Amino acid sequence: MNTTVEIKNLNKSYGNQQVLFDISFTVNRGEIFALLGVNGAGKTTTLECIEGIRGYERGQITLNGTIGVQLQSSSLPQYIKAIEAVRLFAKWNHAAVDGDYLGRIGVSSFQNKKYQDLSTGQKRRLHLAIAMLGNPDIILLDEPTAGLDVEGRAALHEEIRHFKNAGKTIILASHDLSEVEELCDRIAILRNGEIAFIGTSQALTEQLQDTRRLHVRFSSPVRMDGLAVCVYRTEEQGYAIFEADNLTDGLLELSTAAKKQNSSIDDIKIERASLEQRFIDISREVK
Amino acid sequence: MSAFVHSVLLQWKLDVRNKGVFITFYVVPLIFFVFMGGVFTSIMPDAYKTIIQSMTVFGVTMGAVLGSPAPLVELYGSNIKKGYRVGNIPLWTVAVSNFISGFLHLAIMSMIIFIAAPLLFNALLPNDLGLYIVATALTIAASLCVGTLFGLFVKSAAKLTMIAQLVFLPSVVLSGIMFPADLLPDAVQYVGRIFPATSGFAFMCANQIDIAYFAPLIIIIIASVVVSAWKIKRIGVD
Repeated sequence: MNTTVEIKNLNKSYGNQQVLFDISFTVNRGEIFALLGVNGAGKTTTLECIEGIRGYERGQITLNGTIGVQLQSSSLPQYIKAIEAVRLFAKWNHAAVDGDYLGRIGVSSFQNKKYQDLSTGQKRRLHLAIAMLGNPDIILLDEPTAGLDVEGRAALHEEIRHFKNAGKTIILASHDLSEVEELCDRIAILRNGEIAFIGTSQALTEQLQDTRRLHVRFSSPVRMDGLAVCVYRTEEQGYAIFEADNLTDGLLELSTAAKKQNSSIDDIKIERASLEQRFIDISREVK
Repeated sequence: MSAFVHSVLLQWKLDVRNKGVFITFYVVPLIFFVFMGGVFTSIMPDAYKTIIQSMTVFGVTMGAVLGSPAPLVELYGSNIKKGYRVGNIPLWTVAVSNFISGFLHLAIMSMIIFIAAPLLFNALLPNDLGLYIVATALTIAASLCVGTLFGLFVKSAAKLTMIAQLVFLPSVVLSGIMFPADLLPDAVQYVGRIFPATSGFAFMCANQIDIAYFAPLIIIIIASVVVSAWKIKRIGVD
């Protein structure tokens, strides 16, 4: 496959605070690649470095093709009409305004409305239409469905699939795991400016195949150090939460630990670990 | 049509649509002209000699200082600038389009006063029409340069309203359009000279080019262009 985007050892700081640490990944032609992470993980900064609106201290960004960008927090002058905005950006990019395309993504239906009168969904569609002017090879989408209702979200997902079918390379930043699972070929999970996981969503799921999540309520507090099978995750509503790849050994380890510390297990709930929980765990793991 | 010309024409339309800008470019200056023009010419017998110049300076100062920075604050003070950068629209074009659009609007407003004043108040036309046009154009340009600086440096519309008033009110009071500036103490007269309205009014009333009025306007324009260019470059840097 052709590599369309290649990021090597990207490092970025705001003042004295480093926010990206040696970010490296490649994206192939026709691939939908997700940057996933909680707020502040570094998704938008990574995208903005790729877009060229942020400088960076070290690293290398190679783009083999033209880019179209839909920013997370983009805006336009409040009195500009939708069609005027499209024409303005088209003029500066020497691009033709494709009426059919505007019709397909629904911009034609509100093209004479002022920007201040557009709904969130209409604004998203307008910015997408602007991003697609000049038929770019690489499309960068930052939280493309934030603030959209179910219908708007489905329509935008359909449009993103359409771009993929047309051979476009798409990088999207999101904190919505279900969106990423549904759309993307590969995921990079960012945590505190570092890549904590990179691979397909299936690979992430496979990591969890035998993993069980144990919610345990002890009769008195139990120290969690020295556990070999169980991994302590968090505490919720009086239950200590562990993950264990081997359920039998995990239960034995917890009951032994409780007994040694003159405690006992009052209640226990066992469930299969979900992809969402795994994402949260990866995102929150302390460096 | 080039992208830049397209941007200027679009800005012209946006200024008409933007009620806040339209009011400061046309509505308030022209209402003030009709109302205060009547008052001035009634209570001051000689007011008819300078009513065109004084009302023009008032309108230009209001439009340039209170009105023209608003679209710039909206753009440079928000995420719109990011969208423009990734959309390959150079940031300087916004300030320049806004300047040209503002210049055209204020020139039209000035022309309306120039035509209406003799009809309404028997106003005296300037002796040298060519000189008057040059003086008016320079006054508009210098005032818009000051407005552009506000648009680039002020971060929000709320702050803009306060800061612009701090320049607008002294400009009007110290320029000599309400009462002769030579009635003011010398020190205050010198302070008044830092505002384009003072030199602009004197230049528009003059019968010949006087470096004392001409030079301050040119200095204001050059200094503003240099500072604006530096600021726009900084806005464009991470």
